[in-house]
Amino acid sequence: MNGKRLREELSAFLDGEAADPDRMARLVREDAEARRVYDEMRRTSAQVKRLQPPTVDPSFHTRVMAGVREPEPVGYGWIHRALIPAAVALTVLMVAGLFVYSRDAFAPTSGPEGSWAEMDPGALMAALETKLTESPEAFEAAGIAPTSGSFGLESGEPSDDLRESALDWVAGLPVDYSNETDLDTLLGSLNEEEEETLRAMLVDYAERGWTT
Amino acid sequence: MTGVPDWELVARAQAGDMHSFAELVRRYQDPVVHFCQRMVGSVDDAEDIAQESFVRVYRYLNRLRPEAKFSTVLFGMARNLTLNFIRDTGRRGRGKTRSLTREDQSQTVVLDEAYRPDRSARLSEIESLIEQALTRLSPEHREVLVLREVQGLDYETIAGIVKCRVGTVKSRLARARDQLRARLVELGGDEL
Repeated sequence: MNGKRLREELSAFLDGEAADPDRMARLVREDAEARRVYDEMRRTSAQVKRLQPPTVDPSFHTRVMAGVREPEPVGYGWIHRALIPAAVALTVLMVAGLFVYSRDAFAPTSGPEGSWAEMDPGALMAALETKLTESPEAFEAAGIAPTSGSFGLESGEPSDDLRESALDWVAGLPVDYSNETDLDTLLGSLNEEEEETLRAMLVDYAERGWTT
Repeated sequence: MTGVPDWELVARAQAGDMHSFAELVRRYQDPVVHFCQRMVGSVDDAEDIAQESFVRVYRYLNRLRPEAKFSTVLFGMARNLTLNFIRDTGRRGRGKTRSLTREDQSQTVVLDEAYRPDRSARLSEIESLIEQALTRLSPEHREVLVLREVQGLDYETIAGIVKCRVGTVKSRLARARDQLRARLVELGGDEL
């Protein structure tokens, strides 16, 4: 038990609210430091308990009863009580309105999945190059990849012709890109990362007006 | 009406029996004023706050349900009003809250920071030291300490009044006791 926890438990023990009073009693009996802290708390507590209550003014009771007989101040009724909830509701509505407005005003007209042609081919091709450089075997595993040699990756470094080679590779795939079923079959054979990379390549083709 | 339970008196008061509410005031005026006085310092301010607490409870009477002790409702109201008072007087300066007794009484406690009581007159001086140390605690520590030590309330009731968990009451009380001890040492009461 750390110091803070010990003090909490001793304080609760003093008040008769300890979770395990037997354990605390034993601790106070056997542990000198615990006993010192407990005695200190007990002394202070006794002093606070001895504080004299104030003498309440004899007219206090009469004043209170006069106060409760007074009519409630104007505006203290339902209007006053409704004011805060109304203000909160108004604020929530304003914030919600602002959120909807800003979302509509600044959101793109369509998501990246809406049209491949709207995607950034430069960034996607860069992703493709990275992918091919780092793990050409991923495409091999999908049964659609060329050997790494055809990309000039023997050295492990991307060649200057990598981009062009990648495009040639896609062009050589036995897939009809105008046929959605073919595309779905191809994409379905890839894992998420491979699919993303291939999409990038296809976007690039789309940007160039390439068709099979 | 002495032996009538609190909520029975509340029910009668809800039905328009002012004598029953008068009995509730009589029953709780001393502890509520005492609680307020330990929280804000001055007896006059404490009486004003206690009076307002009773008046507000009376106005909420028809919405009260016997789900907790009546004392929890009443002390909860008094607690909210004392915290408002402390917050407001804190903005305006703390002078008024430092007066520990009725302002028209002569035995106002000396609050000089360098005050070192003579050990031969310990009894009343110890009380003034404790009072001074109490006023130096934060309101959240002071309230749990007063509710426990002065009012003798259990942790669950205190938790209901200050609207927190019983575990929080437990840790706050331990911390309050540590803080009180430290303030006493600062004031020269380290042998207490």
